[in-house]
Amino acid sequence: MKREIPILLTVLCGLAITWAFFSQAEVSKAVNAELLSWAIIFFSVAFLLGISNLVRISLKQISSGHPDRIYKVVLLISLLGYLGVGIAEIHGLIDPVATGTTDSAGQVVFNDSAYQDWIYFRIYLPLQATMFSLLAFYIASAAFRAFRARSFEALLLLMAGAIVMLGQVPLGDTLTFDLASRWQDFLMKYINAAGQRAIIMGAAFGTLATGLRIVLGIERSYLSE
Amino acid sequence: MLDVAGTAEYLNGLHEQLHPWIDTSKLPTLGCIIAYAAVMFWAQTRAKRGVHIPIRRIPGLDALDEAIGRSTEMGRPVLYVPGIDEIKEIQTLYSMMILRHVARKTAEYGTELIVPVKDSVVMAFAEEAVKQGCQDAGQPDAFIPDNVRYLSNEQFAYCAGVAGIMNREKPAANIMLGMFFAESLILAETGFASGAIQVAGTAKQHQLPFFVAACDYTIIGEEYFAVTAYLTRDPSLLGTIRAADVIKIIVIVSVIVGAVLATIYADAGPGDNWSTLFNRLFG
Repeated sequence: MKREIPILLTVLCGLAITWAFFSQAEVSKAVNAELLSWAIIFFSVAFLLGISNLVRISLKQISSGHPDRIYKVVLLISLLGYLGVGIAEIHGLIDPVATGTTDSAGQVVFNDSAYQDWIYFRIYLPLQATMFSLLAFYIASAAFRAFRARSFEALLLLMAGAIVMLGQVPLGDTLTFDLASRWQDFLMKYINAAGQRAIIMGAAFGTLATGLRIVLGIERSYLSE
Repeated sequence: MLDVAGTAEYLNGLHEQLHPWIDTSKLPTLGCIIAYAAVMFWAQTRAKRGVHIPIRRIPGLDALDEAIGRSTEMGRPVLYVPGIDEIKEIQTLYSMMILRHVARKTAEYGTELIVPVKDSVVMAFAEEAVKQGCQDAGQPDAFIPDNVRYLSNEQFAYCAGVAGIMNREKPAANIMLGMFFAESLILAETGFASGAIQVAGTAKQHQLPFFVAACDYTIIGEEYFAVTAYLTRDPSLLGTIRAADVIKIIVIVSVIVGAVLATIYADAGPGDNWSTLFNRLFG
C-alpha cells in the first residue's frame, strides 16, 4: 500500500489537471484550483524541510571542526539574522518609522529604508549581480576553448561563430562589404532555427512520453519501493 | 470538394453537445495526445513480447559509468546537480529517475555521491532516489543523508554554493542533468577549472551550447529522455523511445508534405487545378 496509494494519487491528480486543461466545466476548474492550493501548501511546508536540512548539516560541520566551518557560520548568521530582522519588522519590534514608512492605514510599507529591504537591496542583489557578471568571463574562456579548430566540426563552429560576430557589429559588416550580416541572417534564420526546432521537437516528444507515463502510473521509478 | 459550410456546422453542433465538458478548440491537441499514447502502448506491448528495439550508442550516456569509475579510482566524490527547477518540471522529475541509477552505481563502487539541490521538494525526492539507488545496489548503508544538501532557493546563491563544493570538495566527476538557466555556464566552467570530468544534459536548448563548450560529454534534447531506457534496457522504456521515433517520422513526413504543398500552392490563383500548377512548376 505504501507504493500503491501514491501512484493512485498521482494518477487521479494528473487526470484531474489534464481534464481541467481540456474542459471548460466549472467543476474541473474548481478541482484544479483546489489541487493547486494544496500544492502551494505542500511546497510551503517542504520549505521548512529544506531549512532544517541546511541548519542540521551546517551545525554538524561547525561542531565537528570541518575545514569549511567558517562558511557555515556565515551562512547561519545570514539565515537567522535575515529571518530575525524580517520577523521583528513584521511584528513591529523594530521601530517601523525609523526603518520604513507607514501607509494611511498605519501598516508598515517596506522600502529601501527598511532594514529587511536594505539588506536585500544593498547586500543580496549586488552579490547576485556579481555572480551573474562572472558569466562574461566564463563565456570568453568557454568560447576560447570551443573555437579552437582541432577538427572539421570545430572549424565549422569557428567559421559560423566568426560570421555571426562580424554580422552583429557595423564595423564587421563594413569590412566584409555587407556580406557578414547577410550570411549571419542565413545562418540564424535557416541553419540555427532548423537545428533548434529539431531539438525542441525531440524534447517535446520526450516530455510528453514521460508525462504520460507518470500520469498513467506506468512510470514508478521516482517512488521508493 | 470539401464542404466547408457543412464542416463548420458539424463542428458547431459538436461544440454545443460537448460544451462545457470538453473545450472543442483543444480537441486536435487531445487527439494527438491520445494517438501518441496509443502508439506508446503498442510499442511497449511489442517490446514486452520480446521484439528487439535497437538503440543507438550515445557517448554521453556511456560516459556516465566512465565518470563514476574515474571518481572511484581517484577516491573522490561524484557531484550530481539536478538542475534548478521545481519538481513539477518534467526534466527535474526525470533527473530524479537518473539520479537513482547514478546512486546505484556509486553505491556499487563505494563512491561518495553529493547532491546539492535548490528546491526543498526536490530535496525530498533526491533523498528518496539516492536511498533507493543504494538499496538497489544492495548497499543501504551507502546512503549518507548529509550528502543530499539543500543550498538555497535563489538561483545564484545556489550556483555559488555548488561552485564552492566543486572548488573545496574537488569531486572527480560532475554530472549535471536537469533544467538549467543562466547558471549553466558558471557551473560548467567552474567544474572544468576544478579538473573534473563533466557530463551534462538538458532539454533546454538555450543552455546546450554552454554545456557543449564547457563539458566533456553533453546529452542533447531527446537523448536526455532516453537515459533510463539506455541504462536499464527496460522493455517498457524502450517502447516509449520507439513510440517517440514513430511519431517523429510521422511529423517529419507531415512537414515535408506540408512544405511541398505550401510551395505548390504559393502561386495558385482562382481557377487553378493540379494540372495547371504542375505545368507551371515543371512544364
